[in-house]
Amino acid sequence: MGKVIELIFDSGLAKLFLTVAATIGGIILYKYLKKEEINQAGNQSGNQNIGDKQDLIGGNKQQNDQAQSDSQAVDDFLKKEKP
Amino acid sequence: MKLFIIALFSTLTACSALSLVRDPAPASIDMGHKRVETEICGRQGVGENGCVFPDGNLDGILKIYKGVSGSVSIIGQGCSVDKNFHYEFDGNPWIELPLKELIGERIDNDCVLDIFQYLKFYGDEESPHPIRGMHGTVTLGTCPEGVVCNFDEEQVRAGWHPKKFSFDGAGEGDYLLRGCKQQIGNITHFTEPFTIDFESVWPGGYPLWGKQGCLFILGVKGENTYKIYRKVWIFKEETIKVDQPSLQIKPNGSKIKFKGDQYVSLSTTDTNRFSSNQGDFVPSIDGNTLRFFTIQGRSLVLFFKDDKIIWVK
Repeated sequence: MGKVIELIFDSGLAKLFLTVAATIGGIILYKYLKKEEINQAGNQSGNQNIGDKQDLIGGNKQQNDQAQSDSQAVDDFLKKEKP
Repeated sequence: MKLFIIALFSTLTACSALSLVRDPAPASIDMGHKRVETEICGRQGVGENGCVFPDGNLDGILKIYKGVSGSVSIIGQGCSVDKNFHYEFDGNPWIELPLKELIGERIDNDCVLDIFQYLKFYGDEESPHPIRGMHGTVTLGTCPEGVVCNFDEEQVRAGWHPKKFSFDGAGEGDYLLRGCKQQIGNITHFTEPFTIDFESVWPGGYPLWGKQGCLFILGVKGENTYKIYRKVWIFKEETIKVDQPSLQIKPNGSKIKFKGDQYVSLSTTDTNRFSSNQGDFVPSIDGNTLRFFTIQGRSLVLFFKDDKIIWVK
């Protein structure tokens, strides 16, 4: 058994095996980290977009109130007869 | 070891090639820079747009530029609009919303529509970077019978605003200017053209920090009566605009190659979409419109005609 292991090491097969294993391990780790990063970015986009939309709803009410009030005041001015 | 490093490097390179380009600039929506492109009453606008309707009777179509596919929310609390939908690119570059279907036959009061658009980019489901939406506003005004009305808008950078503010097209008469729920100055008799200092029109002082605006409405009573809308929106000084593309123009009307800002992830021409900052187009006699988008919701719209860039928004 010992001789077989020695033979494998001598022939360079172990180096090849370790290289392949490390590459596969690296790819799996990279893919895992990438997936985590993508999920995090997706969640961040989703939360941010919900927040952005909420901000618009708040601002929209104020803009509509202002536009209606100013428009009405201008219409009243235009309707008034000159003294 | 060498073999391992080469294998790992190749894999990483292959994977990262699929990613969208990260845009390190602040998102347009955070800076208050409105970028949703719309068309209403034949008027094309980026960020701000609007139209004034005689006696509030609505007519026509609100168009929103698609990009590729995405989703849109439209909120207009002054006319009970709350619409959310997804869309796909189907060859028509515009989302077309008939105003009568979106709102109704007429509006009794002015209505401001806020639009939130989320663009989908090719391969965005694999993006390790967050993607931000864009904001835009469309103002719908009401024009009393017998009054001449129009709408205009401008988006300006805080601290870099123009000095003067002028309303064109109105004749001599008594002028009333309103904005942000306040009367600005007294009713005064003016002769054409009406120009006023930009900072003095701002009720409560000029907003220095951006992300603020006012819809100014001018009433003019003279030989004719006018109602003139001017939306002024101020975005933050820190806003970074998308760089203009470089163009390789060749004689004989052959295809023109373009290369946009390095942070662009989507470029569109009138007929094509490119998932990068570069592409090409065949010059048209009527002109060509190029658009560039980054994942931070920054964009550039450019009109090209007769071998020249005619306008950039």
